[in-house]
Amino acid sequence: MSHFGLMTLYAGLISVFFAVLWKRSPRQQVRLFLQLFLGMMGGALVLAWLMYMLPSAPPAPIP
Amino acid sequence: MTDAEDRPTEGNEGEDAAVEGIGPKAIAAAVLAWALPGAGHFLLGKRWRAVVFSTIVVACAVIGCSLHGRLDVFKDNDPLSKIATLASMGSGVIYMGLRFVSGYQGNVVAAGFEYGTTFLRTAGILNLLLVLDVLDIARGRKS
Repeated sequence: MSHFGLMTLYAGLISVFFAVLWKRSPRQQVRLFLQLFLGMMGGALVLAWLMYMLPSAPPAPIP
Repeated sequence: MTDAEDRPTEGNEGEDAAVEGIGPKAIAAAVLAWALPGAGHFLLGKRWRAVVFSTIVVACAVIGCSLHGRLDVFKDNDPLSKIATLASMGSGVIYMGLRFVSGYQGNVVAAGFEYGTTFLRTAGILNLLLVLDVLDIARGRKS
C-alpha cells in the first residue's frame, strides 16, 4: 500500500474511533468523523505542500 | 456549540449524584478492557461500541505487524523507549502475545517500518483511552 493509502487508512481508523468514543447519536458521530478525517487529511496535505518547497537534504547514511 | 453540548452525557439531569467511586466492578471492567480490547465495554453492556473499538484496535495492531513495525521494548539510557513501550503495552494481550509468544520484534529495514511502528503504538494508546472510558462508564460519569 502506498504512503498516501496508509495515511488515509490511519486517519479513517482514528476518526471512527473518536467519533464513536465521544458522540452518541449517529448524526453527531458522522459529523465528528468528517471533521476529524478531513482535518487530518487536509492538514497532512497542506504540511506536505509546505515541506515540498523546502530544499531536500542528502540521504542519511545507512548505519 | 457549547461544551455542554459536546459532552456525551448531555441531558442527564443530576448526573453528579449518580457518580460512584471506583468499585470492584469498575476495576474488573478496566482490567478486562486493558487485557482484551473492547471487552470492558462488552462487560458493561455497550456491545456495539465494544465491537467497533475492538475492531479498530486489532486492525491497528494487524496493520502494524504486516508493515513490520517495531514492537517497543525497554532500553537502558533511552527514556523515550520506556514511554513508547508503556504506550505499546496498552494493547494488552496483543502486545504480550506478540512479544512473549510469537517473539515478534519488527524489521527496521522494511519499507513500512515507521508506519508499522506508529500503528502498533496507536493500538496501545487507543486501548488505554478505552480503559479510561470504561472507568467513566462504570462509575456513572458517562453513558
